[in-house]
Amino acid sequence: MNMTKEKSETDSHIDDVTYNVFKVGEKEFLLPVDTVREIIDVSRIFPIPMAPDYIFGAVPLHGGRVIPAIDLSKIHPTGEPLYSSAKLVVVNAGKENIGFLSETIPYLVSFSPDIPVDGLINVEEFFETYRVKGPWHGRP
Amino acid sequence: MGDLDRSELIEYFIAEAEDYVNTLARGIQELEFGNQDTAQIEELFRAAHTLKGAAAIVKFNTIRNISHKMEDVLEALKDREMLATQPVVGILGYMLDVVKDLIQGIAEGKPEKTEVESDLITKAEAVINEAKSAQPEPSAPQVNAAALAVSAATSQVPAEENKWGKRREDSEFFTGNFIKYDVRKIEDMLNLIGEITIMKNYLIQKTKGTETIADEIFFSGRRLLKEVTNFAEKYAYSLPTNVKYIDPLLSEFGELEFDRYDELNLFSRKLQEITNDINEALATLSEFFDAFDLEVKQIGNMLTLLRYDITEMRMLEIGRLFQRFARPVKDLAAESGKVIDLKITGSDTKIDKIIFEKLFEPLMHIVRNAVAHGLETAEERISKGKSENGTLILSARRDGSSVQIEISDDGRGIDTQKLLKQAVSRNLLKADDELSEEEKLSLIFVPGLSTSATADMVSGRGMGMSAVSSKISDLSGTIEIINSENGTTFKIRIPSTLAITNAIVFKAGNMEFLITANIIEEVIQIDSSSDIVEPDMSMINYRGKHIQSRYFSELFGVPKAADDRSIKFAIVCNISDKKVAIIVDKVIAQEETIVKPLNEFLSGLYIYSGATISGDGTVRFVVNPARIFEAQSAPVELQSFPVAKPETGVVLVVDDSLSIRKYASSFLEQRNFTVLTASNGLEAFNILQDNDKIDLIMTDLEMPVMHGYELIGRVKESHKLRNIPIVVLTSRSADKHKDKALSAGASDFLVKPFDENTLSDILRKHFQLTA
Repeated sequence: MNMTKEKSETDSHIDDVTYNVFKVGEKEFLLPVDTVREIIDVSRIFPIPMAPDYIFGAVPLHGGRVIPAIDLSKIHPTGEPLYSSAKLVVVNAGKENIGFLSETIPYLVSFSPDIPVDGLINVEEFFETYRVKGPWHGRP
Repeated sequence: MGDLDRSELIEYFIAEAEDYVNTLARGIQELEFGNQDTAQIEELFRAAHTLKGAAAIVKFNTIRNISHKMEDVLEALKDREMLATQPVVGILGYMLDVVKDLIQGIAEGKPEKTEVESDLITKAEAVINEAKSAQPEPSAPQVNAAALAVSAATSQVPAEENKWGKRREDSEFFTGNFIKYDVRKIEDMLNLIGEITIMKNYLIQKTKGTETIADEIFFSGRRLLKEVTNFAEKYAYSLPTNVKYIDPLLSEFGELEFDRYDELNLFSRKLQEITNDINEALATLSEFFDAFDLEVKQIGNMLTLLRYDITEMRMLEIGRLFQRFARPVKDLAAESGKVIDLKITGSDTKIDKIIFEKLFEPLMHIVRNAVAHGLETAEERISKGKSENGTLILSARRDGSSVQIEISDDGRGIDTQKLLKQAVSRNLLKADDELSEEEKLSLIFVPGLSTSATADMVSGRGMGMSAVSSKISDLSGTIEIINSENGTTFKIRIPSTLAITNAIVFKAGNMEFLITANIIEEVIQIDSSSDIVEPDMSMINYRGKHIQSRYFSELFGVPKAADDRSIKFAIVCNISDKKVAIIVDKVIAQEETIVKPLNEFLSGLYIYSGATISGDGTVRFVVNPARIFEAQSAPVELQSFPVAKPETGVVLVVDDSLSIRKYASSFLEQRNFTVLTASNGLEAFNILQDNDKIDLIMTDLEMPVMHGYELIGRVKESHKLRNIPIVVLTSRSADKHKDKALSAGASDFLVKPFDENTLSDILRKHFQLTA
């Protein structure tokens, strides 16, 4: 089952910024809504030997592409996550896609742009910081 | 290539004739509407002219003669000798219709019709004469006025009713054989084929699963049948007498009650029958699966063919890549004060567009090294007794599903002693280590080792041989070096396409991985006691030699499988000039699979070259053995290779007709010439600028962008190029053209369709060929 993002039009002001909120352990993370490509159910995640620990594994997408599923609990102090019925938030990073594991079905939230938000992920920055630099390499 | 038979030439002819016919059709329509723009008529004239030349080459004389007549009409229009009156435009349209019909016939495989010709030509001549005599003193305003009059006239007389007969209504001519297509769409199609292939594999897997179930049912059925039979045998006949002894309870029954046992009897017989029916049905099912299997396999074969055809569509000739080295080689040679002859063979070998793009950098590095370090200066060469000019040969040839590229120079070779010294000074080796020549040579692939003492201007820009080797291995290719004091040859083997990969699937622990088949030398079973040299499996015995190896599960930290056995498999691979082995728990299968490049986020994990999804949706990674063994030296094995045959010379063929270019190329290549081609004067002039080694130019006169006269003029103006002989190849047989060409500096004049003997004579004159 695929759930495509849907912008909630109710009680949001024109200037508001909408985020996709997902949960890992005790912590909530936010993604700008336009970076989210789709949210998919993951039944099987395949381990990637030699990858750093924050890469939980590989997930096949349509068209034969394979994307990494990232476990943010290995990067941020979130407490032990419960990925038993995990969703994968697939985001656009340039031409590529990567996925963040979430314990829950993500939901949308809108804020006025001048409110500072906690737990916001800048996808481009994340991609550059955490992309794998080499085998036997570990975390950045 | 060489042999280009007539049918192939006809294919080319039809492809290009379509373009010209459509140009003419559109132009004639414009004329009908009164648009008599000179540039427009010029374009039509050129289209008719080229069509004539192309037809002549494939000996379609009727098309040639009719288009020749069209050319005459258009020339008269161009030179303002007459006006595009309705009869003139009418006869042009009619001639074009006849040509269309003729080409259509040829495309359908029929011989060219000739009966229409003479009548049509006579009619055309009559129209021309009439039009010319009706022409008043031409001046621009009058022409415009006349054009308007024509326009008015044509609008009154519908084209269908003109006196030359009914005009065809479709203005777009299309024989249905050729179209132009966006490469990205081909990419999409290949992706789709990839998904279908995955589905097909999944189907095969499911069928196998179902077959197992069928087998189980079959087996259970037989057991049931056996049990029932036993039961029946035991009770059917013996019951009435024996049963009392078996079961004391039954002894209570009287004789009359035995009919119950008859029911039991009947029941067992029924069971027997049903079981037999089930078995029958299962046998039919099994037959069905056999047939089904066969059909799925056939789908597989068709998919392979389809994929092959579509892959072929995005293949490029490697000559276009080699051509890009001509300029840098010339410049680099000039910088280092050397004279180098660059020779190219096998230009028409085709290679996947993706590989084509990724090959430039590594090949450039090897070429640069050869020019800067390999080849000596003229003085040094003479003192060694070598020819004054150094030679660099780029060659390519197809070998099964791979392409073999060789970059070969006749320079001083790689100084292996220098490599050894560097390795020792960097503590990679001990000074007293005994190394064979091959082992020393393989040090060139160790990062940081180089034969040039300082990173000079030339090689300093390069990437290092270790990076070259990595780039080649990323393309699932291998590289080998053959080295001596008389030169170095780099032999590169790469798959001709990356779209679908033939790979070996192996198991490490519970996970499956792949290695592409073209780098695999052999898969052998190894026994821990005798074949493993080092206890950590870092070296094994392979055909009497010790080669480097790695135990995959341990290196990759894959959890061991429950049934860890002592017998393992070694996948022996060829990588940068050496053999290495990957030791795995189990080799499962060989399969054709779609490999997708690794996600950018993971691309740093260069030990994988891509990922694939198996039939049941499992993600499997493709392992790149070269990267596992990177930066380590090992014994080397070398093979001999065939030397490229000497070429007679390099000829540049300039003609706007594809048919003529193909025809001339095949004629020349059969005679061992290297052929470069250009479709107009400007393109030719650019090639001449980039290429020192052109011995002869064969050029047409009528061409778009820059015509032949201008090309001859430019060549003769150039100090560097003026000595290259120029043969004019044209369908303009008039003496004024011949005189003009020869006075401009052409050395020979050949009228199309040319006679092979005449061309041979001319070549003999310039190249001292043996007859």
